[in-house]
Amino acid sequence: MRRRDDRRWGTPADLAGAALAFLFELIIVVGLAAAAFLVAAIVTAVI
Amino acid sequence: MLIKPDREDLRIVAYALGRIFTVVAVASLVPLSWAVLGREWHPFASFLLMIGAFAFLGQLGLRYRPSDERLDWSHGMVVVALTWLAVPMIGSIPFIFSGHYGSPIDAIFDAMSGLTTTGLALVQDLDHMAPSLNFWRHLLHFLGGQGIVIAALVLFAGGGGLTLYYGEARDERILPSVRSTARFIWAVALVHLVVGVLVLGVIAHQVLGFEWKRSFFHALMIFFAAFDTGGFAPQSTSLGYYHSAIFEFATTVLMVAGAMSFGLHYALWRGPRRALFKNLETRTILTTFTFTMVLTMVGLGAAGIYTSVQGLTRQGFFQIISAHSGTGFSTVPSSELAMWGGLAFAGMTIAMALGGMASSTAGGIKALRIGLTVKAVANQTKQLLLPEGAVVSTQYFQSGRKRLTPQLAQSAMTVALLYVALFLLGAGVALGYGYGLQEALFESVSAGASVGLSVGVTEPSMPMLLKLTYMFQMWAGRLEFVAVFALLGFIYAWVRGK
Repeated sequence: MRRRDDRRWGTPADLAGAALAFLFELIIVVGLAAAAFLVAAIVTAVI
Repeated sequence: MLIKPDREDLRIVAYALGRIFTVVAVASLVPLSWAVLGREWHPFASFLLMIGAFAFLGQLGLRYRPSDERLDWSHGMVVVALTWLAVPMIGSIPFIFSGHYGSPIDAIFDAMSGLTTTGLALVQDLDHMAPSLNFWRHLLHFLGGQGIVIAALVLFAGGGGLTLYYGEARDERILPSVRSTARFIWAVALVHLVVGVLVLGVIAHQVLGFEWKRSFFHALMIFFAAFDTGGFAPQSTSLGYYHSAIFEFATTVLMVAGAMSFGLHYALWRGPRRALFKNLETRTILTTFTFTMVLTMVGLGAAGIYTSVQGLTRQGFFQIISAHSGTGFSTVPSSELAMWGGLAFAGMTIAMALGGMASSTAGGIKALRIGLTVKAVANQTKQLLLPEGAVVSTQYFQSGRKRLTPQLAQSAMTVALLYVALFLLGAGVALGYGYGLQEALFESVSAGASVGLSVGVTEPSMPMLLKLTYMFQMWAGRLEFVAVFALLGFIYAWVRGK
């Protein structure tokens, strides 16, 4: 296994990383919601 | 020849269990304090009894200190399997005396469902349950999702941590030491707890009009159930109680965060971030999310259940995220969910069976195994189609370039097959009691993949054997079989070994 950094937590870089994690989660959900809207629009138009 | 476990083996297991029970006894002081603050004296007494039982068993185990505390592979697996059996049994004491359960088995069922982050429930009159008891139900999600044994690892140093870590169905050690990995897992959870509770609490106050205290109570319960992909809710109508699209959206973000592997969380926090979308697991789960969502929504559209774009988007999207992440929140009643036949039923059932990412709080077969299985089948097919002697690349990307060995592919397929067998077991028992094929299969997959969505089979009046089967499915499915087989092997060796 590749050894990873085991230094102390709580640095500004960690806070930025945590913020990025929330942004990533938000992007995934918004992306999936947009895909769902698109599918719903097609389904209701076609069926 | 089978070697019978000796006294030293038993001492090692008992001592490790003693440490874990002590940690659970300490964690149980939180709902006890809640009961004191709320002046809920009846739950207070039952929490006291439960803490006494955990502390007594903990101290009893600690009396049997072995000469070498180091756990080997089989000891660790046995400890994990026994922990996940004993904690729901003792943890159900407050439920048994609450008056909200028809029998002690129903109470143990809910405690098992809570700890394994399933979310199926046999509780009666939930809407009038004491807040401290409701809190305990959700705290079980948090303890189970984060891993009780992981909690013990953070607090106690000692040999054999790695086997306990893997026993709780976590495949990836993120940092060099298991203890620092455990600390990172808890750090991720605590950061999400602060942000998640704040966001949900503010929405509950500003949008739903709840008073502040009630807002944060609901926010905390929903956070535990969403981030740990559990599925219990403080009200009997699950997320449908809130009737709020923004509340559902915020909950969805937490469900997705819970279904993400802690390895992915680490990559987001500290890098390397460039390869996030290159990972086989990320690509697999995004594909299966989209595939099952399309399947479900086409099915719902064809059945004419939701006719508007908004209605279809909101219901289809939320339900599929809830099913795929293994959470089990619902915004529609189980009677309405039971009407989702055809493609919608197929989409939901497949989503539940697939589950979240490996080393996350979600259950199910897991995206990495699906990705590896598909890649192995694709490689075999390519090999057949290409001229003899042609070399097919067996590489895949998952936090770096890796080789898909036959052993790895076999291991992924074996666990996937065991899950299918587990799903068929529950469905078979339900069919035997006269339930329809669709509802029997749906509920069984929900129990085995630790989801918690229900089409109405799970209710206090269901047959006792079916309750026990679902409990076994939750336990075995959550531990991904290895620890369960190790325990059965340990018992067999104890009885038949020499």
